[in-house]
Amino acid sequence: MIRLYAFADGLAALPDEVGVGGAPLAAARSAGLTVIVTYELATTPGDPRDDAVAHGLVVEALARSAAAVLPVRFGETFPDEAALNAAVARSAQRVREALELVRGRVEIGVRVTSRQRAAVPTTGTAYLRTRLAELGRGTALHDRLQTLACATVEAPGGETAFLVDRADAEAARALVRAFADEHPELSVVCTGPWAPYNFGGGRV
Amino acid sequence: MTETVAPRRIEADPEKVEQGLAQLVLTLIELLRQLMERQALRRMEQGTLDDEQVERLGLTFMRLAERMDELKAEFGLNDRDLNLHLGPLGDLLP
Repeated sequence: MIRLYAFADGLAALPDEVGVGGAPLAAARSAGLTVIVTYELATTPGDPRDDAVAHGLVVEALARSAAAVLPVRFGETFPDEAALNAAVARSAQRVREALELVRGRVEIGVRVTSRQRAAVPTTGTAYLRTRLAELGRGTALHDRLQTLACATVEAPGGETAFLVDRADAEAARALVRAFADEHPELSVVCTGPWAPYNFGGGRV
Repeated sequence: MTETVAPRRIEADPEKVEQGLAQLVLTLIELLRQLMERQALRRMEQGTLDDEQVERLGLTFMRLAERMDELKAEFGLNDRDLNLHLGPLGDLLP
């Protein structure tokens, strides 16, 4: 079984990290792209939490050593190279575009929620007022980060992912901190810099 | 609904054509819903709607949002599925 972790470009050497189940990493070529994989004997599956962490550690190690890394969703496995190559070939164009987008860049995740428990609107007027407040919150921070962000994605769970140049990651975090300080009524959670999980990798 | 990252293109696999069509149709409905909702919010902010109009529009959009949630659940789609990547133009939905 072949497990796919990420697409990479400009990778001088594989990181020391091992993959899921301790399997050694390998860089292979598929549809003209470099894929980072491990070859696993399909025996008893490990603890999925440990496996997910191992997958994440591989991706983060790659993000530190490659010019561009596009993480693939955890759990993308293929029975053999033919299946892997067929899947990659189908996604190749999208992956190439995404690799160019994320080159030299990292992802910053931001989640803004109200500290007050929002009541579910029961009237039309309350609904529109709630929507106005939600859009206002998002837009205010979005506008500030727009100067640094090359792309944004509404990630699941109400988080917004901002793609910024690696060199701007700290500046982006500082902007979010400043926004949080100015808005004590809001709960602002900023995470990252991460490998760009939300910018085109995902499912193959 | 469990996808952490969703495909941004319509699935053309014949076996998944129903899902792909639902995704496309819901994406367009969601685009129109968001455009109309933003227009309503702008008009509310500008004060060009009376209270009754605000309430009626709000109820309409609230029910539309609820119905969209139901349809998304029915077809196993999440918010990120309801978007199209338009290459250099970016994404269809904000």
